[in-house]
Amino acid sequence: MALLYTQEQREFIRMVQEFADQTLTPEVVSKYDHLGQCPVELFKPAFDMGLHMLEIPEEYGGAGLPYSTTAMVFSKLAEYDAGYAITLVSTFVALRSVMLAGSADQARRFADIIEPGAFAAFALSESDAGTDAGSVKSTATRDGDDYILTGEKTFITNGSIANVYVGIFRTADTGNKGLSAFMIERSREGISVGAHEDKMGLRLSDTSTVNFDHVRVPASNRLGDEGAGFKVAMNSLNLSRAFVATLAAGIMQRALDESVSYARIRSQFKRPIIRFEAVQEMLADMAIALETSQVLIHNTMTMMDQGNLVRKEGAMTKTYVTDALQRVVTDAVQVFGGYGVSKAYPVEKLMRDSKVFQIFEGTNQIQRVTIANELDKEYAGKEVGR
Amino acid sequence: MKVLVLVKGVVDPGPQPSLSEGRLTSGDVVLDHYGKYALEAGLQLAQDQDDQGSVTAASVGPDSETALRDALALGAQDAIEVKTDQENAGLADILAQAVNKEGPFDLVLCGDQATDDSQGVLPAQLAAALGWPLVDAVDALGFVGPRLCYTSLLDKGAVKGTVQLPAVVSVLDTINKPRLPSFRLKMAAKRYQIKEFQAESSQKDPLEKLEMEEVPASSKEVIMVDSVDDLIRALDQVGIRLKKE
Repeated sequence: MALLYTQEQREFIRMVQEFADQTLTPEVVSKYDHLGQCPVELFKPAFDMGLHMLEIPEEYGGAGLPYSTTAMVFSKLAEYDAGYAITLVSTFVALRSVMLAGSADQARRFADIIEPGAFAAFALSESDAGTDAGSVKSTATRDGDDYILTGEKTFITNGSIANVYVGIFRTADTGNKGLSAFMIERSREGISVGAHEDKMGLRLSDTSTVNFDHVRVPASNRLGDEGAGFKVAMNSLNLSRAFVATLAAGIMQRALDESVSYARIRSQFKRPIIRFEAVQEMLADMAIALETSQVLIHNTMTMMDQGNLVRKEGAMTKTYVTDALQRVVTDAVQVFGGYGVSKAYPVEKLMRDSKVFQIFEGTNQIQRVTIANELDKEYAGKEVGR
Repeated sequence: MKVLVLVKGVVDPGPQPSLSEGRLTSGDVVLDHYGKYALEAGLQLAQDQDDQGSVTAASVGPDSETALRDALALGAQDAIEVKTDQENAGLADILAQAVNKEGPFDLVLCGDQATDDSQGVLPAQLAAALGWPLVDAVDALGFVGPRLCYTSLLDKGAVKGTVQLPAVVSVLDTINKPRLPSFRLKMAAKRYQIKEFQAESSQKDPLEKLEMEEVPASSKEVIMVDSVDDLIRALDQVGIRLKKE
């Protein structure tokens, strides 16, 4: 393990481990993975523990943990099931985005909805606006003291189970500067959800289309200024990118645990396969990928704790860790050989759960564009030479 | 109703513990396994009193603060750290001082034993020191009017009864399913000002009423063997025949 945990961090990790041992047993996870269904009722104990409000300040009903500790807790939870973990992460990231962009009153209203035990969702993507977030077509039209929201949001994590949304809508035809952000209570008339996506992985998480059909919200639900929506979305994505990397590290840890354990007991040619150099290389590379990922995540989370928006670092962390994840789970399946592709063994699911990590929260291709653009800005006017 | 729950900090049995200077250590101390069940029983009884009940946790010993903060994170409303210069000897008498002076309490709950020493003698010693009735090995608890009704799992079977409070009750780890701590309470527990109770030195020797009988170092009942084969033969001689696979 690369990270040196404080006693407090060990206590929190122990808490989530005890919770997951009771709630996310292999049988339960396997059942809902097979069904492709979000086990909403299994979130009650998570809400009771406050797992959906971990990094939220205490004045809003959260535990007030730093990002770095929150990341460790969610990485452990993702070892059990990353789909379950991302459902909770999406909830607090939505609230955090309200806290970053909105007023204290808006944050309080949003927190009051989810604190007793409810989900939240960030509704940005559309059928033609995924990685290109600035192409959002859904509109928010001013009508007196209200806005009328119309459009369809796709691939929304927690889409059908959320009690409150943060949505990005177009208020003017001025590109990125024509977008605005709103908090939208689920109880408002005109909101409907489409079919739940039958996904390859993260099958315990809900991913749905959400339709807004002339949904009326008061102007007091607008987060920040009109036209600030793109910035709200980007700040939220910076945060969520670092957190999806955290979940990816949890999957990696599980893949390594399963692979080393299996390689020690699986014998071929009268010796455990961990004694073969080809297998050793895979295991060592998996461990290197995990350790470097954990260190990178911890550094980025520490920067976030210090108030940095981690535009470049969040993108780097997400890209590095989720690319590394693909190699790790592929090798994990390889170590298991024929059993690796069997649903009776754990690594098959880990491989299915992993792929989307290179895609959501901005593809790893666009992350590299972001990183390069940030480098371009950093080096503008800088004299290089020794 | 005021409930006092005795809790203990023990070495975390999760990671592989190691021995250091004769003490079991693994770096982390956690709330004792049985103490969690006693605390949960207390919290449930307090809730059953239309939330008019209160639960206070008390602990003595070097790791008491950790145990008390864990108890607060689980829902105890108050915590008392009992300070003493004495170790083991007179512990029940010292805790009885805390019960009498920090109370009045209607009920003292504790685990049937602790996971580290598994002695299970403290509940009886404490009941004797307080002059209260003791109910041990309790698997179920509830109120019938002012009396506490219980089910104890004893060697002869389940025994149901009622007891007038105040009483000392020790519980088994089958009595309930302890709740998990909330992260918010955990953070609040870290800041909580734990009360300290300085006990006077106890002059009582808890073993004074026991008559010690010298046990001979060897006995005719004990047969020493050098090998598994010898063991099988010895068992065969007393009529125990092992079945060969």
